[in-house]
Amino acid sequence: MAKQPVKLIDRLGQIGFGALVVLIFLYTIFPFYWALISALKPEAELIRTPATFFPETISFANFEAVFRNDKFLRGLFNSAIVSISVVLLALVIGSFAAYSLGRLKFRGKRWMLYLILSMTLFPAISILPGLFTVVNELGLYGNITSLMLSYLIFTLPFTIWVLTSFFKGLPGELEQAALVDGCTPFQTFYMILLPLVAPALVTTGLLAFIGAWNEYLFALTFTLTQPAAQTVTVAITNFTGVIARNEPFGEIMAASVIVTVPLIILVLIFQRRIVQGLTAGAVKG
Amino acid sequence: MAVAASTPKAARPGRELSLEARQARLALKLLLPTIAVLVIVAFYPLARTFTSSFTDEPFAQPDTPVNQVGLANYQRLLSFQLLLFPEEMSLRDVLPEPVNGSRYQRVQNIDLFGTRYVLVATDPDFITSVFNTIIFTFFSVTLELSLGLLVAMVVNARFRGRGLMRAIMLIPWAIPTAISTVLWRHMLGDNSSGALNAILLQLGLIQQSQAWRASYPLFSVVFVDVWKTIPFMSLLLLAGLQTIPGDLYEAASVDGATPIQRFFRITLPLLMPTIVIALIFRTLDALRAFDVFQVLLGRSTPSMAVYNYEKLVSSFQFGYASAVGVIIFILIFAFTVLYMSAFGVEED
Repeated sequence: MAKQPVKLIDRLGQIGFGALVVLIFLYTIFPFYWALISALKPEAELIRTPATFFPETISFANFEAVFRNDKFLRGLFNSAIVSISVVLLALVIGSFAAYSLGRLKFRGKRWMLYLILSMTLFPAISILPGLFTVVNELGLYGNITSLMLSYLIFTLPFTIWVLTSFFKGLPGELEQAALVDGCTPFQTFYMILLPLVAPALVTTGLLAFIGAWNEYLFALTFTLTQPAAQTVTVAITNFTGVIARNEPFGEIMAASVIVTVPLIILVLIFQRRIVQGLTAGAVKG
Repeated sequence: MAVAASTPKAARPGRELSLEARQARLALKLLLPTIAVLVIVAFYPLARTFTSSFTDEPFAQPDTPVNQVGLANYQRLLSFQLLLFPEEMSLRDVLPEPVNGSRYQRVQNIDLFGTRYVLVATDPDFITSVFNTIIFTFFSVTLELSLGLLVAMVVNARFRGRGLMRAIMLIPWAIPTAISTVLWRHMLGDNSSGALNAILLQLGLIQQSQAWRASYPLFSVVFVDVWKTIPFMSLLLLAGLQTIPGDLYEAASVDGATPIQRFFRITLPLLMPTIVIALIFRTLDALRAFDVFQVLLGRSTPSMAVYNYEKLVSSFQFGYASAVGVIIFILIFAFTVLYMSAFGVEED
């Protein structure tokens, strides 16, 4: 007799747990579903009240319009160039610094490391006026180079921090063997140690890419009057559609889907690495 | 640097001795690009923001003369008072004397235990943005932490499709905030073509469509931020949960501990370091929130960061905007120190 209620509670617990899982799943995914169906709905259905949860007719007009929108295409291109450049710069500069901080002996190392760590907490908005001056003085206003440079403020410290811990984790014998064989320290760095931290390079590179691709404040400020240099985040938030209408929701949704899909694929493929990279800074396991 | 100074002395013949000096020299060379970048994009701009915060420098007008104004920008930004405001008096009767020529204006009336007060400030918009930011920070961080912990415990349990679930949870984090806010701007639409109204009407939870962004701006912005950040928060907490050894729970079960006891006696204390770090990062992020406020609410309900941006770009007040930037910087710095000392976090 006593067994029955326990089983019932277990069963109820399982059902509750399952419901919770489904709820979390729906909550997480719903906005993307909504964006997708909104992009696929024809104009008339999109503004209908109440909204339909399943599109009655599917139309690709919004996607076609977006691919005819020069500003959007330009934004995609600019974002790609900026993000890739930032990743390369952050990895090259960052791996130099990380090797130095992780493997070489010199005075003031701890101090340097803390300085770099403190940069990760730096509020970008606080330096916006000063950074604008720098961009202007270097003649980079309205030029995507200004973004490549300024994005290093949040990609570089993080890259250095994660890579340094990876360099530190490598066994010291490797270097000694290389030195005995007549390698200079720099050769040891790029011929022996760098290939060993390749996984960390992929992780930090990915995170830097996502960070740069997603940036909004600097992109907005440094390209204010120069639409040709705007990145895709700025282009989408100031969207004026090809099909004339006040706020072209359908096209905005289509554009958002197009920008989102590559990120979703990237995240699904590199899930494990991204989580490792993200938690490397926060949870020292 | 001391490193460079010691090099010539060490560079005697004798390989062993020069090795360390060579290392130090190489280290410095390899760090040079990093130092250069940090100076150009962080330290110099910060110093420039600091110095121009004491001037009336305009934005992008190099020919206009710049005057030193001392602390005037800060006085104007930070002058606010809570005054007794009896019903029979008019606002003009209670307003204090102007500060440096800028007059006090009403921010808000406040009723406390039947007595009326009025909050006045020389820059009411800035004070409002500070309150917006603090309310936003408190609610978003609290919700993200508590719901994030719940989600983390769910995806820490074993069930079919767990791997997929964890991957999907990364997606809101990976999408540009500006773009996911655009999605939500549409979903929080005023009539029932917006998803939230449509769902709540369908479920019978509301009787008529709500203009979410206009009527409940801070609620809307917290809602969007919570959606965006819970998954990230739970992945952080999940990483912490995974470091708790399973035999602790087994031992507790054997001793007859209930699940609630296990949560409060084992999970929570052992997870504390991770929670504290998550708390710090999230608070600092929330205090400087820009994208979600700017895209969702525009100028109507600014955060401190949006206010700073607007002063710079729309009002062309470079010096004044710099002062706002410095205040945000100091605020964030103070929060960091406060948290670090309150929780005794070692910087590692």
